[in-house]
Formats: sequence, C-alpha cells, structure tokens
Amino acid sequence: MEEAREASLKDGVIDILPVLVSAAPYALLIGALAAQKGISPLEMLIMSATIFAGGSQFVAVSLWETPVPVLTLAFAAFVINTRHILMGVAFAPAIQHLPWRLRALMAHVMADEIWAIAMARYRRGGFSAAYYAGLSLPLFSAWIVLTVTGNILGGLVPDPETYGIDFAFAGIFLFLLQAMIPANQSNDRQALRSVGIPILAAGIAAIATEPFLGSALSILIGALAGVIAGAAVYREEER
Amino acid sequence: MEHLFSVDGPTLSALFLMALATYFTRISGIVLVERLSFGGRRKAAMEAVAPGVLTAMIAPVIVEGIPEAAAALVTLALARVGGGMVVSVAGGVATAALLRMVF
Repeated sequence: MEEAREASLKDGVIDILPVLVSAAPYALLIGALAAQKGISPLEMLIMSATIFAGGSQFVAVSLWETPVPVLTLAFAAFVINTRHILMGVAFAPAIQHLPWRLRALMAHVMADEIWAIAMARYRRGGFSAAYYAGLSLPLFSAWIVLTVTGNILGGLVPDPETYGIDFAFAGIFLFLLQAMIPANQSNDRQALRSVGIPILAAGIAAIATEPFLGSALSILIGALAGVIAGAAVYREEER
Repeated sequence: MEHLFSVDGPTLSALFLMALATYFTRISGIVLVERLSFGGRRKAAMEAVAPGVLTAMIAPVIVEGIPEAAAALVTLALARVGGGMVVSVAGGVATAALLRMVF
C-alpha cells in the first residue's frame, strides 16, 4: 500500500467535485425530459432518491408514456443495472469489515462514478467509510436537487453535448483506469499483464457489442470479458 | 402548485419496482462475496472487474469519432505527466468541444 493514511470525508468531497460538475447538466436534463413526460417534481424527487442512477433514469424517462409501462420500466432498470452485481463483487472486500446496516446503505448510493472513485482509492490504499460518505452525500443530494430543479425549469435546460460535457464521464473513468495501470517497469510485468490483458479484452468486447446491444449490455459483456481474461492470465507460480 | 406534489398510483408502483430492481443489483454482489472464498484464480478474476468495467464504459465512446479519440488522448497524456483528475478531464472536455466545431 503506497498510501497508509486513511482518507477522510473531506478527501471524498474533493474527489467527487469533478463528477458533481459534470453530472449537473445531466441531472437538469433528466428533470426537464421527465417533465415533458408528465412526471411531477415530487415524483422526480422520489425517483432520484430511490433509484439514484443516471443511466437507468435516463432510459426510464425515455420509455415513459401514459399508461405507465410498469413492468417494462422495472425490467429495463434491472437489465441496465446488472453491471452493479459485478461492481458489488469487486467492492465488497473494501467494506467487509463494516456492519451490515452500513453496507446496505452504502450499496444504495453505489452509482458508477462513486464506485469507480471508491475502487481506485481502495486499490491505492486508504479507503474508509468516511471517505465513501464524502463521495456519496454531495452527489446524492445534488442529484436530487438538480433533477427536481430541471423538472421545474423544463425547457430552459441546455444540451450538455454542445459543451463536450458528455465526454467528462469517459474522461473521469479513463483517468481512474490509467491510475490502475502500473508503470512500465520490468519487475511489474506480471502486474501489467494482469491489468493490461483484461483491459484489451473488455475494450474489444464492448466496442464489438455496443452497436447491436446498446451501452448497458455492452458494459456488462465487456466487463465479463475482462474478468474471464483476468482469470485466464493468472499463473500460479508467479504469485 | 397542485402539480408540484401530484403522485399517481401507476407511476408510484413503477418507481417502486425500478428502485427495487436497482437496489437488488447493487446489494447482491456485496452479499454474494460473503458466501464465496477468494484466492488464486478467483481473486485474479475479481481484481479484473474494476479495469474491465471502466474499459467497457469508455471504449465505445473513444471510438465514436475523431473528437472523442483526441479527447481521450489528451486526457491520458495530461494524466501521465502528473496533471490531476480535474486538469486531465478538463483538457479532454475542451478538446472534444473544440474539435466538434470542426468535425
């Protein structure tokens, strides 16, 4: 572990700020689109507080019609979020020592960005429950406030793609990913291979399936390809 | 004013089921690990989850077009020379925004 110091709540708040800035236009947009579909501000608040997942809320709002397709919406939410099962498996060791009540609460706010930053910190060392609270509390509350605001403001909300903000999420994930790749030194070759091959497998699988299956399923398939590659390159004698 | 607080039955049941489905996916991985032991190959597989998920989320975005690919390169380059997350990502966002005016 390079960093022995336990990360604090404040460290978490600082680390989530870039995500907060990039997520804000999307929260407003989801709120505005929801308003067009007849979802009221109170319903928006309930949705954001109980689901708290940008991608699946976006899809939910686009599928929304009257009468409400209850089962379709529930099924879509499940399919889009299946990757969280895998993410939970990876995250579990970081919170294994905490009481179940707390773990159950932490699971509720395990959105992609929070998970990614938390995982990066865990792999680096210094992850703590306070740090996770610092990541999740600001984003969770801002998400609720901004989706409801967008819902009330409606059509006044600008399109995030105009300003390249849509790239911010890929950029944040890319930054976290490169931090997981060890520097190219000969003694790190095993580590490089155990990260590099899964990355290649995941990338190829995701790019190949995304045009046909959409991003939610291609993320799942890409991640599974990475996991299989990770198991395949493992060598007993080198550990 | 009335609209602000309107809630109807089908909407509420849809929201409830969606929340349930989402929470199920988030808690089940954490519960699952409790019942499995991890060592050797399984541990290697589990350690590939984080890079795998991140890669699968960004790879299709990067190959979308020239602005996205260039933005990714700029982000990566800034990160590798020690720029923090904010600087690296801001560089990528600016690159995407600028190149989109051309392409």
